[in-house]
Amino acid sequence: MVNKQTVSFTLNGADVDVVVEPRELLIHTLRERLQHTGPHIGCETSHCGACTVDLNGMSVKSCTVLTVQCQDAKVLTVEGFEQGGALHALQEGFTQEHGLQCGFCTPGMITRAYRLLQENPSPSEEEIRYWMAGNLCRCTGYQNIVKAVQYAANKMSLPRTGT
Amino acid sequence: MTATTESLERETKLQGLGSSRLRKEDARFIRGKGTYVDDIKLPGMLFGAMVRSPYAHARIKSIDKAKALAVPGVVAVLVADDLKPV
Repeated sequence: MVNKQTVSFTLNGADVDVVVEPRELLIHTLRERLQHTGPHIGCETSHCGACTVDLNGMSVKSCTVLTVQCQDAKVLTVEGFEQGGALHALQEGFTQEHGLQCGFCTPGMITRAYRLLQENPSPSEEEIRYWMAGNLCRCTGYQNIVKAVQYAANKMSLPRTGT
Repeated sequence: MTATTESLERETKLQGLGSSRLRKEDARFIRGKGTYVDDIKLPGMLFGAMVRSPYAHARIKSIDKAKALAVPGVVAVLVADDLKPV
């Protein structure tokens, strides 16, 4: 194919190089080339947030980002949250508070909530709802998603015990 | 669910009646390992696209596949007749 470009970035801490056409979307690179099928394609029009990933400290909908825009970037997907077999507080929160049913939106929800808690470690319920407004869930009615984020916020605010 | 006195009582005295149960399927969903249909990759998979009628109320007299089949990379164009044996 024409005009392929090499793009290098870090994905969940690991260096990756991909050769892509300039038109290729980040979500397709992640899912098709790099076997990271955690971020989902729900709408491909930036409405649903299922493809949300963290790109250089910002939440982005990876169906609206070109892979060639990611040169030298730091990309975090849901696959990068578990550290050494220990779940992230958000992953724990979503399962403990029943913040998911079918789970399709969950990777985007967790990644978005992560960005929220980085910016605001103790958000109010209203702030959580505002920050999560770009992520749609058709199962839960959002109540337990809010609880899951609150669970994680509480857990992350506690002093770390020796793990 | 955090362990409150009430929930502990449900667990012990009522043997779990009325208490929330953790779901065993969550483990994969919260890690991005859900294996939804679109996550599955098999050898020889192709992309498919639907072509719908631009007319809300009309009769199909014929479908000419020739132009579509001539597009490079197109493997098959399937219409209702092709599905009849199925």
